[in-house]
Amino acid sequence: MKNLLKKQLVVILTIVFCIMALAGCANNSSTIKDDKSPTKEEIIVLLSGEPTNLDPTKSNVHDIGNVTAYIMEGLWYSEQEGSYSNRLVDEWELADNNTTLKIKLKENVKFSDGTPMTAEDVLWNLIRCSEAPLTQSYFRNFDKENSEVVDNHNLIVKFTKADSTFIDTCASMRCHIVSKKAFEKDGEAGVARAPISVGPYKIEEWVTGSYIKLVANEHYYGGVPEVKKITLKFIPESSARLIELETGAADIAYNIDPKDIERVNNIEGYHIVKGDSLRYYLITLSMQEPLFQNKDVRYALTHAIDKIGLVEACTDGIGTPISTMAPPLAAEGTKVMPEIIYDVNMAKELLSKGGYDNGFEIDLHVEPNPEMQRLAEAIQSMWAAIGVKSNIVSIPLATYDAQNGGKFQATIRTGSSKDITQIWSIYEIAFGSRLNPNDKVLDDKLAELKTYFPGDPKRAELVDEIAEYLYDIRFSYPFMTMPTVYAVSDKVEGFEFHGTTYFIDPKGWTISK
Amino acid sequence: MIRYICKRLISIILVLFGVAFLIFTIMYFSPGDPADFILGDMATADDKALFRQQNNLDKPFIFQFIHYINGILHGNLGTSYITRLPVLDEILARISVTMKLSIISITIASVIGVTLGIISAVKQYSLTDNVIRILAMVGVSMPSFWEGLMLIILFSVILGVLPSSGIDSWKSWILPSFTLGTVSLASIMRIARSSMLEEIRQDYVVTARAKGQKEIYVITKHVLKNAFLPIITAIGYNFSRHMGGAAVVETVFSVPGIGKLLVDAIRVKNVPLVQGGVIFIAFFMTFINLAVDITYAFIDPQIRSQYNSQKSKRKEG
Amino acid sequence: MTEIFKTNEKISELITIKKKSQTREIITRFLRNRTALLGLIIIVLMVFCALFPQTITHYDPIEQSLREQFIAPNSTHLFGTDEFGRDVFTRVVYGCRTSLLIGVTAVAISGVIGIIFGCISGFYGRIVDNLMMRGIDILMAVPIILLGMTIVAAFGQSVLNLTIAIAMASIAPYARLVRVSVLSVKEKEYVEAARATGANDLRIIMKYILPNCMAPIIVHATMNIASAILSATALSFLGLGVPAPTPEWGSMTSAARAYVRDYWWLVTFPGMAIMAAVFSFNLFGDGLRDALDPKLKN
Repeated sequence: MKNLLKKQLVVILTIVFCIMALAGCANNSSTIKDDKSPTKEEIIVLLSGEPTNLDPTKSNVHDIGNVTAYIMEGLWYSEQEGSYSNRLVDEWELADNNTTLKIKLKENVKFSDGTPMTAEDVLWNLIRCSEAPLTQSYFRNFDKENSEVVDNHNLIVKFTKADSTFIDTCASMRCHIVSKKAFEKDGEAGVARAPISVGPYKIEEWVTGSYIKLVANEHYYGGVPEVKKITLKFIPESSARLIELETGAADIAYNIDPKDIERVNNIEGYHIVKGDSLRYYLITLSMQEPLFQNKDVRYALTHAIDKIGLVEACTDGIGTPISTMAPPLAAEGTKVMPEIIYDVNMAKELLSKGGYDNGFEIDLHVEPNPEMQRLAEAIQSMWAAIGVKSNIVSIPLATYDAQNGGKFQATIRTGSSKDITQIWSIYEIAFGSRLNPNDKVLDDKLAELKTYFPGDPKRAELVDEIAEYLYDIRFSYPFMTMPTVYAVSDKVEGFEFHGTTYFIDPKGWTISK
Repeated sequence: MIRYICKRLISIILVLFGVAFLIFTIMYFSPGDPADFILGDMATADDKALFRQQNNLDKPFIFQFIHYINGILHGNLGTSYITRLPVLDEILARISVTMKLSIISITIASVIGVTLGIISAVKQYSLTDNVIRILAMVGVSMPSFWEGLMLIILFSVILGVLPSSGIDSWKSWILPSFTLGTVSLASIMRIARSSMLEEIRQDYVVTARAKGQKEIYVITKHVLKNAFLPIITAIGYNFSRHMGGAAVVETVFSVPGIGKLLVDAIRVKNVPLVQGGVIFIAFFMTFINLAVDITYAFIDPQIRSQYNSQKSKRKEG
Repeated sequence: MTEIFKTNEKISELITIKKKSQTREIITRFLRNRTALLGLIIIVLMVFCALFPQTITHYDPIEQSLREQFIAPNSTHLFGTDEFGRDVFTRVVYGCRTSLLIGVTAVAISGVIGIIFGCISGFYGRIVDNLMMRGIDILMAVPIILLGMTIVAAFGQSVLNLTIAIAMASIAPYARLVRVSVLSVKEKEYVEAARATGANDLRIIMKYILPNCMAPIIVHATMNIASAILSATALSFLGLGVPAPTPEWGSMTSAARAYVRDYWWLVTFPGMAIMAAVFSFNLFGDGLRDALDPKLKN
């Protein structure tokens, strides 16, 4: 009897220990050491979303820009106060009626693997960007055949038509420069997971679902940054980010929820850095959707929205309602339009007039995050009050696009571009997504706008004209802007506010013990 | 013994094949063209046609299924729509986290569950017994996501002693493990209790007591040893359930395991990852169940002797 | 001849009386079990909430009132209001309807299908039996949450898909129960006798097999409703269940996650409702099993 019991126990215990040993061994690489107090050499940043892919040409979503801000740079940089400063570019000049752009690059720029960045790399990147599906719409006037490399640090970019948005495009994360040689070696998969670029940091380790570890790029042309390690952790829940701050486990956190702002200020050793941003929110109605062809229907839908209530309730008070067709912080296009009155009865009448007495049913697409979900539910309720039933579809844009063959109905979206032609690129036929634009008149006007450079009186006139036109056709309803909110540890110095999270510049940061 | 294992293996292979078929069929009918997903909306119709041809998407269902099974046998579970990485790699990167979580939680559940079960059985009908039984009932009825949130409120927000997300320090494993293990704890406790009660009523216990042996000796030496088998089965069964049920707990505590991977994949309709992930977990759980069954058969003298006697019969015959 | 008929009548009378007193016995045994009684009372309350919510609360569960958000529980809003100003108590009450509907429907579907499978499997033996049992093993191999997730991922988020997913995962026990019953009864003499007098298979099932296994089926069904509600709320919590704005305890808890620190009532009450529902069905099922137990032994 005794032997039997022993035998059983031995067998069981062996099995249990084997499994535990396996799990233990396999797990060692994926846990960060328990290091609650950041040393002088490391900063921990909390991000709300993890990018799936770091390829600049692959995704339009904010998440990727948040990460590439640390490891990549573009030709120019978009300053918070509005101008564009030179980054990889040393000097530039326009010629030939603005159809030729001569660029002289900085000579000491190196990739994180030590190889020098040349004009060939830059041109290759521009061409790649102009051909990639998600970014090619920004390069429609780019003449890749006639653009050429002059020498290692000089190149000439040609345009078929003058393009005033080119600098802004290059400053955006979509056109950050990556190493051509590395791409030839590692292909798309390499750029997606471990891109070789010129930024102040480079990727050391990426554990999907948890964090990305960055180390200082010792070849950075601006000098090696003082903070040698930065860890970007992905924590989707704002309250969870807050808890990390409270326990001192992180130094900086992006995207603090409105309701957590006061809490952060109350935490010993942290403060809020908040400011206006270019981020604006709008409701869009697809131009090709049969239900929306009647102007009365579109007017009905917008008059059913209680804008003030919506903004206050869904943003806990920090959002600001807007009555412009572009974010108020944009340099142009911010003419204030007549208020779209919230009137449910008028909305119902207009709907009737449009021929839909009994209402109809549509899809309301939003990106999957709690903030958008909240807005969507409120709008769903407001439209339900006039008989329009909306189904909230909160899946990523690419998925929705693929599932519905590119056709949209209603969406709520955000934009955070600075240049008015970029902001209004959503109305261009070639853009395709969300609004499914098909308005040739509008398209021509927007194309014309690109050929006028800022300062040209024709430009200002055309901008106002387009704004009024957009207001009139009512396929979109911009309704609010939100400030950008960061939580920063008092120990971090050199943190400069930027309204757009993917223009955060980490190279000047220092941290005290 | 070997015969038993072989028999089980064959039936398991059939079941796994069926699981793959079931999941593949369900996902096959999901709307959305893979070509659209992977190539994006700017691809031309020709590009998409080429893509479909290269990936056998224009072939009939059976062909695609066989192709998929073939892939599985070669370790290829498909490629994720979103990251373009092989599904198997993504799964393997996260499996250790879920394994660790499952093991820690089943250990907690077993230790506490068996202890409470024994106490409850020994002190049957007492106040302790009733309290334990009610707690078990509550434990089984509590939704795990709610329990997780309540624990977060108590330990992270109010008391501030435990982290609420991630797996950075050893402390961050406590709340998720406990939450995942609650249902198992209650279940194991019940089985331990009823199994013990059954044994306690047996004649040999009366005999032992009559012989004057101390109560503790009776319990541990005789009763527990015989009551153990159903308990082991319960532990094994619950452990395999943990692998499958970790999805909710991992989501609440942001634990980067396989469950959360699947939940995120489903939200974005990442069909290959969902397909591969669910099949993988089903396979995994089935093998764990098999291991438990074999251990059980190995240990249980009745089953062993059944096979041994068959062997000896054949020898004689 | 007439005498035989009279005796037969008397016997049937006796049998009926015996059945009646048996039922009465069961009921009495059940009522004596106080915890089971508690479970029953809660269930009745929930059914009432599901059928006549307007008598309990006058608020609309879906209509938003953006300027009344996040009100703490008070006399006008027993459970407070949520982020859209909706009364939480009302949404919890209406949530009864959603959960009970899904739970009962899923169990009914899986019960019926399971019984049919079990009968076919047991009756027509050998190959059919083997196939069906393998099929059931396959369904059992996939955890219910994962199966639910797969179905919702493939076919979209809706109450119907959710119910189907849960039903699919629950078929096995019913099939197995009925199959065992069929197998044990199939060869008995009275079944042969019945066949001899021309009774077809369906009649045999209804008369001899089902009554035999009804008791464990009912007990299991009750516990199954409890676990179905748990699964439905869990899937809704993950965002794969009932779409907005229908009030559902799981999705309410999910939406409340962000407010866990500031507005505790948004998380607490829906969760407690789930617990109460599941707990009550478990208690009721336990009590049923105890009450029917002696009969099973016989």
